Amino acid sequence: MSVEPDWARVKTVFQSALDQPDDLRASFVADACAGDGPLRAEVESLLIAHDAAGAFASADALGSLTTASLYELSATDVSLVPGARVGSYDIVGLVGSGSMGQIFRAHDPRLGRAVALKVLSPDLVPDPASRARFDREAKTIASLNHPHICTIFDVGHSGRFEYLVMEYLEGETLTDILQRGPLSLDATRRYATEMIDALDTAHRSGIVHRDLKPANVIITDGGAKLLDFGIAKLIAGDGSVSATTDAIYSTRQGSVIGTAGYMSPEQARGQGVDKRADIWAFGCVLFEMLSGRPVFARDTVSDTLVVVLEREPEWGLLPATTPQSLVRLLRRCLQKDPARRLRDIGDARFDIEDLDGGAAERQAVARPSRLARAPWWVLGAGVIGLAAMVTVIQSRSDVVPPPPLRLSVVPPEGTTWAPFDISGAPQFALSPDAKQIALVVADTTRVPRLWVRALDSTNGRTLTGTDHASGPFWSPDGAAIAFFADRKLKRILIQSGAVQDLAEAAQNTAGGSWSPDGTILFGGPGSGLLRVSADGGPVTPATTVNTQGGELSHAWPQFLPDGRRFLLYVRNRDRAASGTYVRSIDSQDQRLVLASSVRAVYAPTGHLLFERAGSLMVQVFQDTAAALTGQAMALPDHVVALSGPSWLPVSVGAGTIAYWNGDGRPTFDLDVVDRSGRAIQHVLPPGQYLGLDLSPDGARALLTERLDSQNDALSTIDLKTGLRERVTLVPGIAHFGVWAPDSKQVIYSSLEGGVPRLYRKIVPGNSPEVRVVPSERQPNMFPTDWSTDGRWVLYSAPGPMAWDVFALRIGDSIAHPVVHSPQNQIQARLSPNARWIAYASDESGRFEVYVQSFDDASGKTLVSTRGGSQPTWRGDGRELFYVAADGAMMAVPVTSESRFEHGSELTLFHTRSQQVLAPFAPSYAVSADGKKFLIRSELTMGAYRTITVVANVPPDRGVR
Amino acid sequence: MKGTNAGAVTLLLHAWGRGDVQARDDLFDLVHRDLRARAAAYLRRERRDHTLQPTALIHETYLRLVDQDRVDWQNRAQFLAIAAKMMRRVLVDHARRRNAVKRPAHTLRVALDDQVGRVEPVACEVLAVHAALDELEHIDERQARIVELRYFAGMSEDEIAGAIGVSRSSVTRDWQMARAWLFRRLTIGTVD
Repeated sequence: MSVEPDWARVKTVFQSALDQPDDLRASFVADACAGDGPLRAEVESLLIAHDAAGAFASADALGSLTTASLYELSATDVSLVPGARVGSYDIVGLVGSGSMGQIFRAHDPRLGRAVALKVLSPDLVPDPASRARFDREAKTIASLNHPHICTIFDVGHSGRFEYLVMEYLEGETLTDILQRGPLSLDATRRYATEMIDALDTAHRSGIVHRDLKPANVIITDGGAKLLDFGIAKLIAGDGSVSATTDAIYSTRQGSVIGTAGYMSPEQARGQGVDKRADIWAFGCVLFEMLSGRPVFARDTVSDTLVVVLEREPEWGLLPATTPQSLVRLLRRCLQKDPARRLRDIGDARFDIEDLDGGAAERQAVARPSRLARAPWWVLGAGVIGLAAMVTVIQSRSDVVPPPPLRLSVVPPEGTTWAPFDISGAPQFALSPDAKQIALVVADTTRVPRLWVRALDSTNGRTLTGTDHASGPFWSPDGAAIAFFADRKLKRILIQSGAVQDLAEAAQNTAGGSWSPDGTILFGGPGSGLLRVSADGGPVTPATTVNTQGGELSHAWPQFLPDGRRFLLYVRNRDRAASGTYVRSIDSQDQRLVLASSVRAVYAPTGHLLFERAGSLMVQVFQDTAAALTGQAMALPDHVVALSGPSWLPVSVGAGTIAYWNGDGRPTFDLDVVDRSGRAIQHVLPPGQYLGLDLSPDGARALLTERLDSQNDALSTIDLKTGLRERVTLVPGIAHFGVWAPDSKQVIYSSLEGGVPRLYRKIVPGNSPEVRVVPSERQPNMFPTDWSTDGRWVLYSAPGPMAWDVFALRIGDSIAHPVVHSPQNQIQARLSPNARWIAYASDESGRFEVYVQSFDDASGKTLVSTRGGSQPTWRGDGRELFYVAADGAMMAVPVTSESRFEHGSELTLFHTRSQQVLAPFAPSYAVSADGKKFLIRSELTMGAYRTITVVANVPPDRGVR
Repeated sequence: MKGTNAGAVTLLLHAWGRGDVQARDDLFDLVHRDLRARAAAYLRRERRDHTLQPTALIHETYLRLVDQDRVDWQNRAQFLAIAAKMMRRVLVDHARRRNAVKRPAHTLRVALDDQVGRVEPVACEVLAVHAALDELEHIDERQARIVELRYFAGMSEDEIAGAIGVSRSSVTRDWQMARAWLFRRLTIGTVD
């Protein structure tokens, strides 16, 4: 047994040795141990450990706490009792706790008034070195005196307490109030104005709030009061910006969740902060007052920061009645780039004030002094059969008459917009004289029909004989409308209601145009444009697609005023060659006008309208030269634009533009529900979830989420832990995927720079994406199923005439057409025994679910009874689910698998979703046992997708 | 809320001061229970903007639970020792739980948390220090206390000096030695 050295002596020598200079330490130890070998060995060994320990244990273990455990541990409340005296104040009681400490009601015996005492958490107490700065800044803040700012009377320290003495306010925080729902427009306007005044005053004194959020706004009898002005900086050290954010990040994990949702992108990045950060936060608060929901906050800090940094607000959450000027103000406040943000909060007043509308105000349109700054007036509101809002914009220029007229058009009561058209055709059209608008709306039976209304009237009417209409366009004289329905080009005379078939047309609407001399150009069943007289008769090819030159299709013709030349959208395999071209009926020559992934729209005012980064741009277009000149200008509203090809929901008449505006994308809940539709699990907060799939083992979801108009992302979500992992890391769109039968990998589509790709990837993890190449020629591929035996991946892709179903053999990456016909067939799923394929097809005129043999297409059976899409098999193949046209989730028992036979269908529950007729973007997935459904349900039905009509566009300047 | 507990805690502290070991254990349970109850109440309220830094927690707990007029500094030192033990238990439990959950290697969320969050000692360091500290306790009780107060309760050396009634410099020296001992224990094992 070795001799144990005496610990007390080890301690003495070790600690004395540390006091020696390094170079003398060894000899000191040798001397001090004086021949005691074990003692010397022990001391030397400890000294080596001391030198080697580095950062070991230097950070305390508290750092290992996550936010969640911090919550648990930080559940400490009262530290000061009623009756106690702090400084010269008597504590009356605890009022609440904030991120920075506790707030007490106290009594100031000298002035005989109630005060609020904010006792800072001990970790926020300034160290002696920064005491002077703390006191100085506190004085600056205390100098702020404004009826809508909570005044700070005093700053004090008493023993270990640091406290601020503030005006005592009775009221509720805006957070509490907003928990009960959004504020009325009146209340929003009032509080917003008060907040603007307060911020303006503070900014003029050089004080930035830095932490504006609903929790820092108290609504009292006297209106809104802003709390904690400048406190974030006060407690953050030397006042540098990064110190602020560091402090927020590192020591206040809990509060950062409450704060991150209001943090400007530059704050989130730890960059410089000035008053524009307050303007951002004001925008967030204003949005929340109007919508009742935080604009950016998510469940976790990281999710929230991603949203703050990357995503546009969901404009669709704003009530439809939100005045355009407020929306515009919000857009200016919520610009992610501070340089583009509203510069001065005072400027916001003009967007907030004077909205009181009413009859009296109508007169005021002529009042020039008001017009100089007030941008607009509300003139009228809801009318029978049509919820419409009419506003008049006064341009800031000196040109007074006629002021642009702005209307919002929503479908008449009892109808909705027609279901999403695969072609992306705009489902509305302005008449050439801009006096009427035709909408495609669907009634409760979901049959789309034309509905026409004069813009100066409040009534419209449905045009009979226009069932299944899509992509309407007007005759030049406004007496007739041409439209596509049931794979035909048709025409209806508005006065008489007479409907005439003109020609066979493409399954997918590719648009049409009607010239003054009665010629119609339209997208035919082939890939080129066709030509027919407006009275019918022979159909002749108008253009031929130059396949040698890489062209894929011609679509969206638009005649120029001479009635000979026209614009068209050409899709080319080379993305740079895709765009809007000009050509003439008399020639096969064409010239590129504007390269883009979305078609451009010609306006008879001599403009071209096109989409750029989610904004609708206007640029002067010279008819004669057929060329763009001058600068492109953005319209104030964002226009809805799918990043899909040839799609721009814009229609133009004389001096008037109609377009779908807003973010335009529905927001969804993502839930797991049982067979009765009852929610079992709320998977994620509302978001723009485009597509989803459930892993066969039921453990994980695969989710496509839209980030902005140019980006979406595919992620997996562990349904147990909620952990979310990005599958696609690079920017791109159209990321739609399905799980492998082993639940370990996914296959997904991607459009990168316009080039379609298929990838497979093992998830989770960092394994590389493996490119799957079925065919370079296919312009789009959307996987819909990965067979149970793992051998096949089914996908939808555009075939020669419409969307078709293909199967890709995993072994050799060879693609086989499976279901192809002139109609659309989409959403194919293979039965677990790989014998039957279920898919949705619109061959009957509406989408229905069919089942047929996978091998030889025999035994085709119509399964759905009232329209259907999105078939899905149960894991054992004994049940087939689909969504009926009315949104009901249906279950069909499969009674025989050798010959496909089925029993009578059962309605399980109603999904809150519009029928999904896209070849991608499924709205539900079902677990292998058929008991759980992962489902996305639309939250904002109808609130999105309003058509904005801007009339009297100044012809020479586009729209301001 | 405060009244009943404050009285009980004060009595227990006095009893412990007289050498009643049972009182110490009762005190431990009382404090721990109180903390848990408050955590639960807190979670029910779900006030996200309400938080304190854990380092402040022990002080807060102390202030909340004891009748300040009737507790002298010796009791306070005892209380802090209890609280540090309590924190140690909480942190060790927490580290064990975390070790049990296998975290995926690479996710956006993790990346962001890392960027946002503080630098974390690895969970296994917490567990290792916890185990080694049990051994150190048998060799040098005071050093073990100092490690507990500093590492698990996050107290500064000045606070520790005040709490256990020794000079700041001897706290520093003891900490250095304890840290060296623990490091050696954890890297090369004991020297036998």
